[in-house]
Amino acid sequence: MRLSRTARERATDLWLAGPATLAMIGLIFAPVAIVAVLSFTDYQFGALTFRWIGWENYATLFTDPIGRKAVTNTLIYVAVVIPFAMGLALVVALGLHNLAARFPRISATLRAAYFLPVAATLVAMALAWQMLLHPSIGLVNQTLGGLGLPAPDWLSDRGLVIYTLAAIGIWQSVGYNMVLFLAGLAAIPPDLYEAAEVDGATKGWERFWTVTWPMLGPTTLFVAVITATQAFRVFETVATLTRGGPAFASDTLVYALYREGFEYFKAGYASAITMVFFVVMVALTLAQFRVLERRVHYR
Amino acid sequence: MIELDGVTRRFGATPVLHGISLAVPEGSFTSILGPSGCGKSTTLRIMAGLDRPNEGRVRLNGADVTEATASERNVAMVFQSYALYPHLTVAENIALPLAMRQFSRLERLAGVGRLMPGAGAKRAAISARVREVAAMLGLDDLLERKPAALSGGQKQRVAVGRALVRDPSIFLLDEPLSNLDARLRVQMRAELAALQARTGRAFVYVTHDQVEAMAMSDHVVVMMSGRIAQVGAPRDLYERPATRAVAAFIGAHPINLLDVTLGASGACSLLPKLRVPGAAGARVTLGLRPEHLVPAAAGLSARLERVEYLGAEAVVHARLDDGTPLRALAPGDWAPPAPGGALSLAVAPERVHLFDAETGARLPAAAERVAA
Repeated sequence: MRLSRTARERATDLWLAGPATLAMIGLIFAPVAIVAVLSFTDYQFGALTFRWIGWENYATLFTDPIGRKAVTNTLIYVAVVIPFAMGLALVVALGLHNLAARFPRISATLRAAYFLPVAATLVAMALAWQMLLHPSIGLVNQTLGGLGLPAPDWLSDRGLVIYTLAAIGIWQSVGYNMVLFLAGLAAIPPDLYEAAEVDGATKGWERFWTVTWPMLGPTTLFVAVITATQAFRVFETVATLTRGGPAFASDTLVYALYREGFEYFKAGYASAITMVFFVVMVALTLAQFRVLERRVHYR
Repeated sequence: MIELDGVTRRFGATPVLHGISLAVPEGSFTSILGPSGCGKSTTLRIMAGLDRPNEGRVRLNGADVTEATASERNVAMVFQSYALYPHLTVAENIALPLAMRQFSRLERLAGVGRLMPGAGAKRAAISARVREVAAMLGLDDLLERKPAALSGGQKQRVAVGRALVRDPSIFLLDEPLSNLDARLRVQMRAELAALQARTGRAFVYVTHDQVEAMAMSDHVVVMMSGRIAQVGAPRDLYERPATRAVAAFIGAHPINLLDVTLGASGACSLLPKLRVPGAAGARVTLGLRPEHLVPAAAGLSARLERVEYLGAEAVVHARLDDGTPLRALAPGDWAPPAPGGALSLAVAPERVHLFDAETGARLPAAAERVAA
């Protein structure tokens, strides 16, 4: 039987888009839907029955001191990591970009060095950090002691631990963001800098505000989204260095989700945390694209 | 006026400019014309202060500005790519050179600027000037648009407007029309020439298109491989090209260049009417422009290969009896013989250009047109 031309084209469309769509439904949308349903139950792994408990899991997350601690810690972590990971990456990228014109070798070597934390396994790196930050024999405190400065307990001081983890998070993402910024800088047409110079932007910072910053707009948006999503799902350093401690002072959303789901087998509660995390991610991404896209692509 | 004095520029070990000396008179429209890679853009960038010469001086109205930056020289430049700021509207793009010079950083900040004493008056003056320039260039309706929403010709006008908005000492234009389509290019050519006449400022116009240079300028500098080949009015370049290379570059139809050996008395076997005294037995190159070579009853005998009919005229491709290809121009109503047929091409002796076959230099006029 010969199919009509449109029917054949439809069949081709289906054949091309179908498998991927099925995989997306089976592997992403369906699990999300199941997790969403589970988040309204008190289901535990291995249990034979469950009860519908409505919004109780969500209420626990936002009212229970431990749940709230995880939420606020994550927000502090993100608030510290985003500006520093982006700002430092931009400064490093600008430096290396300018250095490349005169000393290309040195610039390339430094670029590789900054990128190293991205390529390295974070769990292995966390062990290195643990040794560096050891309260008595770690290199950091030895150096501070040598200089006559106080030697804090980086990973066991309740007020300090989340900032220590944030610093490691910054260290880890600066290299990646730097590479993105370097690509953005390389794409700026040199004519624009020359036009700015002719137009009277003689100082470096004038050229930065007239050309570099506006032209980096799309890159900055992309880096912001990447950094934010990375920061929100901080897990490895928490799991290897502090296990959320001391006294939940470094507990974060994803670590709480892991602990509740895979150590205490509270599948319902873990699902509720997952849903909160998921909604934050989607909202963040949508907001950033909606708000910023109009302003960075200059239409 | 701007002067270059012995300017040499090397990129690494590669010399790009070999001791260029050149003066652009006040109020002139000067073109720097040459094939790509001849150093014309580098010359312009050195004039602008965007590049520094390795040797030599740059003088602007008598003052040495070799080490001065572009903004200290107060030059205006139009870039081939237009180099508009994509995040600013047309009005902001045009206003930027004024804002950069007149406002402090604090005043330029949106919002804060409005609260500063005196900034309001400056802002109003700038916006009036922007509207004036926009009206001159027909950009009135586009002031609130972003460059992404403009056509090539409109972007071109904005780039010109940005140069025009302040009162620069000199206008530098780097192939500003090369990204436009042919029709728009002809239109912008006339507009730029008119603009130059209106401002009365010196324009330096870099182009590889000899038609643009001939049509717009009153002064053309022809550059070949990092050296100035010839400076003169368009008519000088066409009528008395200084070298064979200039002759080959200038002219809408490429010139015919024939290497010949002169006879014992300086006579040319090909053109019996031409005689070059004191050059007996010399190797010379004859330059015959197609438009001066016309089908006639008597003249160079050749065989017709094909005819390109263009309406008002026809380009005749022929071969001399010894096989040398030749282009001639016939009136549009000329009735050609069948392909392969014989025809005669006549040229007036005073229209023949003579060049030294070795050096390519023009042979002195006194020696060349002695009609037999």
